Amino acid sequence: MIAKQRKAHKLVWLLMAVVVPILLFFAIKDLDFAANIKATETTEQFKVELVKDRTILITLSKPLPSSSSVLYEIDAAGKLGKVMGQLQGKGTYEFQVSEAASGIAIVDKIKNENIYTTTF
Amino acid sequence: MGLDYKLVLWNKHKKNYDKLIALGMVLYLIVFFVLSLVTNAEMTAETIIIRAFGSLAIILLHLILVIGPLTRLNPNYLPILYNRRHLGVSMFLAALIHGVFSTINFHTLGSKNPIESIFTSNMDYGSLTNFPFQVLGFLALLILFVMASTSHDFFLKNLSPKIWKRLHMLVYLAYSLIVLHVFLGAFQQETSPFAIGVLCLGFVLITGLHLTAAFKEGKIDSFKASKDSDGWLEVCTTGEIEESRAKIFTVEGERIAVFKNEGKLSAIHNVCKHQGGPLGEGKIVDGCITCPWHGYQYLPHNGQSPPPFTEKVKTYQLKVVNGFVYVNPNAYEEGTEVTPISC
Repeated sequence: MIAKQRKAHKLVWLLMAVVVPILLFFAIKDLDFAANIKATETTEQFKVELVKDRTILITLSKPLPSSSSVLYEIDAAGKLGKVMGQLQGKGTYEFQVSEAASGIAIVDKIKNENIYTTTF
Repeated sequence: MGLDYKLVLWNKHKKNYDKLIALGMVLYLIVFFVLSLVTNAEMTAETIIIRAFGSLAIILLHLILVIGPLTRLNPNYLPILYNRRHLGVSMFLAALIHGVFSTINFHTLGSKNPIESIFTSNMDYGSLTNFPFQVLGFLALLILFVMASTSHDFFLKNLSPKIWKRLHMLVYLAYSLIVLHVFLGAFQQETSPFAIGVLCLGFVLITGLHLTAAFKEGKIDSFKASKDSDGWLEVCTTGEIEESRAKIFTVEGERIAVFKNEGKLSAIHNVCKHQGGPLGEGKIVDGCITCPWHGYQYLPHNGQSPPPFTEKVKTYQLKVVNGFVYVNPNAYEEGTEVTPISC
């Protein structure tokens, strides 16, 4: 390298050594490292993960065979409570569970069958 | 060195180097696929491909970026510099697969053009934490494409080494964009302190090596030789230069290499015309100064590449007084004949 190129390299790396860490710090300063998965239950067709702040992640590896798959909260008395949503095609579904809920249930409302239940 | 432009001037060393690159890449991908399936059986093939090739590209980029400063700090690392271009092109291919699969997976299901979708699916350009990270990856991939497609002596010669070098220094920008791409993308979804720590460590290692090498070079550049009454610079004694080797000195801001060949001294400009390699760190092979980077050769007495090659570097006049070597700081035109002086 010629002298100008050596100088340019030095300046570029000095600049990067200062600017990049600042940007990286701001990129991750609000990350919640404790927001990891608290509990996981896996069935043949889906995986249920409870993460921090009462968030539920349901991952369907393939669509459920039931014609209707509705997700309910289970209340403190152990009964079906608020409807949270419906599971359809494969993918990951995210739900927020209320403070009062003691668990969740996936129910086929057409056949009135309980597909899955879990309590916290 | 080659007279005509071939896609790759294969030799035994390049073939071995490339076999090692290919083997390392395939092994990494196999291990990544197996571990992904073992630890998360639900993960789709597309997701594994995106993650495997993305992480592979980052690892290769780290390797590429440490080679330069390592060779400046310790010449024993020079063999890994020899075929760095192929490592660079391999890294680009891994990054391209990551980019293409990511674009197909996340941007082809809507009615928008996928490239337009990369730039418009997240318009939070004013935010630092929610900045559209895929745009950063896309821009880095563009830079890597330009670099990979010009990684050939044809472009080096036709763009001129100066412009080519400037173009390829964009790899530092690409590296910064890629690190930010990962921090604003993958690390926002999977907050693994281990993965964040590893990438931070990689950044510290690369930056630390580059700055250490830069400060070491700075010391050489600040070398001040004493002048005699004619303005010639006293650089060393004749005994300090080994046979078939050189010592490097800074003269008027530029480096020159003083070689000893069959007991006679010659001085040439230290910068190889090919990619700017340090000629003074090479040795004399078959009567020719041989660049330690890619083997380009020059004759010690005139700085010209042996026929039929046409590269030329500046030459300098030397004199020996009482065992001390003096250099005339005024360089001759490139390729000018200067009679070697006896020690």
